[in-house]
Amino acid sequence: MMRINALFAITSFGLFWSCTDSYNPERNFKNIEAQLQEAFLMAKDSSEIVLPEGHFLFEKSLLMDGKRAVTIRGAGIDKTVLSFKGQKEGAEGIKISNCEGIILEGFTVEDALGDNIKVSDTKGITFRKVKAAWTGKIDKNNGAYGLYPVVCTNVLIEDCEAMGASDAGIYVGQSDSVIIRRNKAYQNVAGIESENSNYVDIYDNESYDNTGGLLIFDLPGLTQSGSHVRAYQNKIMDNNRKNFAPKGNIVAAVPPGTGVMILATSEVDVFENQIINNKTVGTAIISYELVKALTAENNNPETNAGSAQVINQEFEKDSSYNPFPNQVRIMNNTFEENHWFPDLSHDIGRLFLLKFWTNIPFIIFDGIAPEGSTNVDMGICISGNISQSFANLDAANDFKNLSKDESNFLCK
Amino acid sequence: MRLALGICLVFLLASCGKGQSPDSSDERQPQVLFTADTDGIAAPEKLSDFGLFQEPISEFKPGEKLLPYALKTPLFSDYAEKSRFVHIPDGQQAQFDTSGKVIFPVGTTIFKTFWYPENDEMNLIETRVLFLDKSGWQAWPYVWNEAQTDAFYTPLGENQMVTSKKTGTFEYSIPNQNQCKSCHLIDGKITTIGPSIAQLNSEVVFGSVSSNQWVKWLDRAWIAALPDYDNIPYLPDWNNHADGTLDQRARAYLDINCAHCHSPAGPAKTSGLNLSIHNRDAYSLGVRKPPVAAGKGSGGLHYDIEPGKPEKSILHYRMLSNDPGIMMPELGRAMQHKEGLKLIEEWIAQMN
Repeated sequence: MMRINALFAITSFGLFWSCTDSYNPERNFKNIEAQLQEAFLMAKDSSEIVLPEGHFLFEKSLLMDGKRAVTIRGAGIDKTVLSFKGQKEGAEGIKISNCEGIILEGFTVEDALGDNIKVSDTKGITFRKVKAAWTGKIDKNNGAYGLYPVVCTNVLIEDCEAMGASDAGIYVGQSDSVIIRRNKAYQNVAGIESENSNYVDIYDNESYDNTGGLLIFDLPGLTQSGSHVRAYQNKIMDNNRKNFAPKGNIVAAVPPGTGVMILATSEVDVFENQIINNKTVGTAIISYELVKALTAENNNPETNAGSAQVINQEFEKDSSYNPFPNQVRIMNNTFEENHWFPDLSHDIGRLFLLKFWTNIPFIIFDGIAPEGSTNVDMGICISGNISQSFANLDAANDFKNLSKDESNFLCK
Repeated sequence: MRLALGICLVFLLASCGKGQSPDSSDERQPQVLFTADTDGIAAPEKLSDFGLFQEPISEFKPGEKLLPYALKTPLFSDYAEKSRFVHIPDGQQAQFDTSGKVIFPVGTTIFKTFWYPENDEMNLIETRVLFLDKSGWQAWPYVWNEAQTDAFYTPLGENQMVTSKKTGTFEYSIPNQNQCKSCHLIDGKITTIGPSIAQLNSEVVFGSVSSNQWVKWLDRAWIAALPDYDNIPYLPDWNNHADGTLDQRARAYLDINCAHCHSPAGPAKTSGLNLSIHNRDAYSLGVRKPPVAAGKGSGGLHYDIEPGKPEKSILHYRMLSNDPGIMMPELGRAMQHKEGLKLIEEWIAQMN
């Protein structure tokens, strides 16, 4: 890791964000809306809907509910394009609910107002060679999630692409038994996110040019909490994109330049990944309390004074929720960094610059422990990482005992 | 034309017809009157085929096996007027669950007709039919023809330009069968939304005589006894100041307009927001609750409800919007419900 003390660079930092990028593929739309709406509505169990090659524009969400073993197959990524640009009804592109054994394969979905493909309450959902994208300028006007299974079991997402999401490109929420592999996620706020999900394997993915590469989160007040997530052999690189999430959403709190962020989740293994050139932090292990405090402070000074109290009240409301990360192991990853400075558009980046100057450790733990417990009891450990470095922020005590000593956090 | 034909060939499932005839019509019997034994029946082609309205159906008068019913606080649907009728087969009775929801017997058929007043006449747009067979509720959309002589089964729905004094001219969306399910689903099964002990606890004119709806149902032997009102939350007419407190009226409004999705077994349970009238927990009701997956639906705001500040509350923001990517409810409205918004505004403003 090379960070050079160069004060003058701070002043010119703003220039880095002056470019705006966009995605403008050529599209020649035809209309098959009536036929495809009918196919989705009338699909018999154990059947296949074949999507023709070409670009097709839709005014309403395509909905499927209560079907079994239906395959929706296109001619391939960017060969079959379903666009919801300017849609008039529904917020999703494709929405699948209460189904079993659905396979989505070989097509692109673009420009839904909300989520490109949402699948809920479904047992067995495969996304294979599916792309979710937003065209035009990459900004907060893009929809929230690209590929979005929620409250599902047996989820497989493989060989897919997701770009442009103002929340997460590939997002699995409140689901169990999930495999996310060989996908590419880029130019999203969060590349890949697992939230309140159990038994999730995330491997062989490339997540780059997002605000945050990989998020493993647990939030309160939802249908279930998550644990047992493994992320391995992924390339999580250059996630330094400006955070363009609409405020109020939890990902709006993610600092640009985040490789991996583990929030309030238990039993998480992050190993053998390449976590490279994410300028603010390689891997952050934090509690819900820190994120909530940050969001409140960043965006809502009026409620700042009472924010900590509010958060504590919220925790109490959901007695099953554990706001602290625990049993988190960060092992045998490769860390590299070619930036001098963290991202300074975010409080965390500024804090890191203040505390670490240009030597920001790759693995950072907020150090907030449950009452009556200590950091060491939380089962957070690191070992065998290339360029391993560590800091415990002691954020609960205003960073008073901030320490780079990793000796209490080595995996046994 | 050649393009359309080519597309037909690749959709293995699409029938490619005009959309109104999923099965051959000779399997259907005219004058279907659903009984407790009926099961697996295909949707009748025309509304008149149900045989439950007086002939000619263009007069839109209920037959004697139908009762009109009304909700104290209905769902807002672009200022459409709604006429509701229910049929319960002879010898069958409805029950109530512990929350006060009506549990109907097999064979129950519910008709909800959406119309706008036009020159002192009814401009009938659509009739949504819920029919309960042994496997569960079926949701069938019917669209009235221009001559207003009958309504036809239209599973794909359609959009129509509608003009009324209240709304001006706008594009009215008749939902397709899948969109019906977007609202009428609890635990993955189609369900009724409106009928509950509290919602029907009001006077309605039957023929020329006004009666409490439950008294009338008891009279018909559609229920075994009058319902017990004690263990359910009071539900007022949302728009009648004399009928309930601001809190009661706001909660009634949110219950019917939002809780079909935003409740623990509804499709929007993933949001953790529970707007059911039965919810007594402030956080899951939205008070200082941050959004989970709202995307730009958050409007840059932090909480679903920020007490005292409607303009800073996501709930209010999404009711205000007509953008399909932001607005709530997601379906069923193309315009703001100004009066409903005002109620929610006042309700949030007085919170502390």
